[in-house]
Amino acid sequence: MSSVLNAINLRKYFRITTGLLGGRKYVRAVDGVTLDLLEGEVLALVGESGSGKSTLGRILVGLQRPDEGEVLYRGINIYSSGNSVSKKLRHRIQAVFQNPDSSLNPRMQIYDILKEAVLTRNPSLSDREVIEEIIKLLRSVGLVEDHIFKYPHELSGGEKQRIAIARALAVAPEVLIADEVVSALDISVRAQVMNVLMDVKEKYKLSMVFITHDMGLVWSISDRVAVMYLGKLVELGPTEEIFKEPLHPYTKMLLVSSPAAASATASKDLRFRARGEPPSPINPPKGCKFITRCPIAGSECSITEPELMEISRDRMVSCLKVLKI
Amino acid sequence: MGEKVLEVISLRVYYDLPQGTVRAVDDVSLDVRRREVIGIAGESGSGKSTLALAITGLLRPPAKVVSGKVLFNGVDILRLSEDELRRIRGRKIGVIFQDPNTYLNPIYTSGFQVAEVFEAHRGIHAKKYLNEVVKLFRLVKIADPERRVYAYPHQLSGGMKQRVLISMAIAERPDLIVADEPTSALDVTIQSEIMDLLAEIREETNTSIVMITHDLALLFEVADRVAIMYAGKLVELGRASDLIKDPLHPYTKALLSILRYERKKKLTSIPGSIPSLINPPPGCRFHPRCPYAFSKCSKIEPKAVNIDGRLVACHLVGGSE
Repeated sequence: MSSVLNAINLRKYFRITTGLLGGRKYVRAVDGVTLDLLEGEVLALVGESGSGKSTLGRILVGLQRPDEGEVLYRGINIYSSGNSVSKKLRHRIQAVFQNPDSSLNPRMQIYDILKEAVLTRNPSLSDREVIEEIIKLLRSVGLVEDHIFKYPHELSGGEKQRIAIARALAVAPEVLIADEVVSALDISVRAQVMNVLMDVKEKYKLSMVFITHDMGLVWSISDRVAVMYLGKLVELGPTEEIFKEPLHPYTKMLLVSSPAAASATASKDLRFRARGEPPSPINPPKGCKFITRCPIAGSECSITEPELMEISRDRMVSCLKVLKI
Repeated sequence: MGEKVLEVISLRVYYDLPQGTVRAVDDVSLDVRRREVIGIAGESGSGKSTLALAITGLLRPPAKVVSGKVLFNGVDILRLSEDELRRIRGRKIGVIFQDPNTYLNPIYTSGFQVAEVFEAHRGIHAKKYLNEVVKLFRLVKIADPERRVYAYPHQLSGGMKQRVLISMAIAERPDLIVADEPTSALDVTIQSEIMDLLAEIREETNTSIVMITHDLALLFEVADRVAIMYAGKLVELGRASDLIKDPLHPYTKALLSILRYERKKKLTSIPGSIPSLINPPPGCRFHPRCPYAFSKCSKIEPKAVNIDGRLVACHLVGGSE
């Protein structure tokens, strides 16, 4: 399978100032991530808050220039030209975020919101063609024409998120970055929106990065899982294998701690039940960053930082304990 | 089966708004026994948080109690004055809410704020209680408690702040803890730790816990009994293990099938959306979204029937059969 997107050695540090004379410190939000998105796949990106998964998502969609590394879309570096990503490339990669209230303009009717997007792709469309296109988009996300002259506040959370998805589709993208798209929705509505997302993924032949903390959804829709911890990838592999036999102790911790994953995972080892919280990303520990919470850490783990290594076909993990065996 | 610590009897709480009357809690009855963890589950607009406010005596206008009782150790909370309530709340009933930032004062140390709970109930200056606070912090597994009592809220992580709130809630060894979405703002890893902690506190202090959340997977893991609310109504109430094995109400069935994530299959979804509580559907409030609804469901409201100790409000179950 060919890849649509290649992230190569991405780094993004945010500078923060601590106190009046505190000087400069850096949060290493994304700290050397290399990752491919394969054509037609759903790649789940998981990790706790502060793991850097959202920053990585923003880099991939072209919203956050990395300090180092590049993002290739079909071989073209999306950050190569000047300051902003070229319009054409921007259309190929779209994003939907968690909170539709902050991404939909409250003063615009759904018609205007979608019209803007439809016209960006094809400015020469007549009014009639624009309406037809909008109706087609609304239908593909399970909404009807009635919604066309409503304002965002007249819609429910689930409907607003469908509009956000429709708008992303309007420019005919090839890659969709979905960042916690259903986390704010009620459970009965969440399933509807997820089904819409998977329908349009098939229909528009999208490749998707699905950022979430919901391991149940990861199991249900993703082809591969990438696990992030403090800005680094710690494990990567096919979903079924990761749920059946997670290798990195952090992946085990995520699976054992998540009630939603209980029926899907074979990992029940209670040694890996969560303990402690992630250390500050400003002052991560030496050696393996997971060492402060790892139940199987040895003395070598505090000295050497493990690298992400391929340990079998399609599976990568960065853990000295696993690699040694 | 233990004695009843709390009894909610035919409670109706409405909100009078310019747009109309919101029937947030509409004829809900349930009881909580000693040492029991009872879970109240529902989506937004189900009335679960209003129920939590009623139980803790925190209802404020425009909310009004239309009818019903909330008996705590036999005393009706809804009839008490603010002074009387204050003596119960914090002492006999501990409360934990979702967002610790709202409940912690940023300009006082966390230890002082917990000590204030003692001061409020025992009338001696808070500073005298720092040793007790250290013990409490140790109980809720805050590392390095001697130092952490002097930490301000912003110096603590989200999980740590929630532990501070829990230590406040259990400071006076209450008979009942009401926890409204206590871990919804936290990561799953931290969430599982907080849940383990609440379970341990229950073991050690014999307290009962009312846990309110939209996170069903979590609720079924920790609760002894589960009450499912929909649009202001209690639709099913029973032992968690029974509900999981054999849900009776169509809404419970639908919720549980959503939770059974199957690999690469469409997720089970419930069509439609949660109804407005100003104009709820007539008859059974779930009928417009129910796959089993028949003519009676849109006309007559189903009464809760008791089936082997389980309460279900559905025309398909019991009653007519």
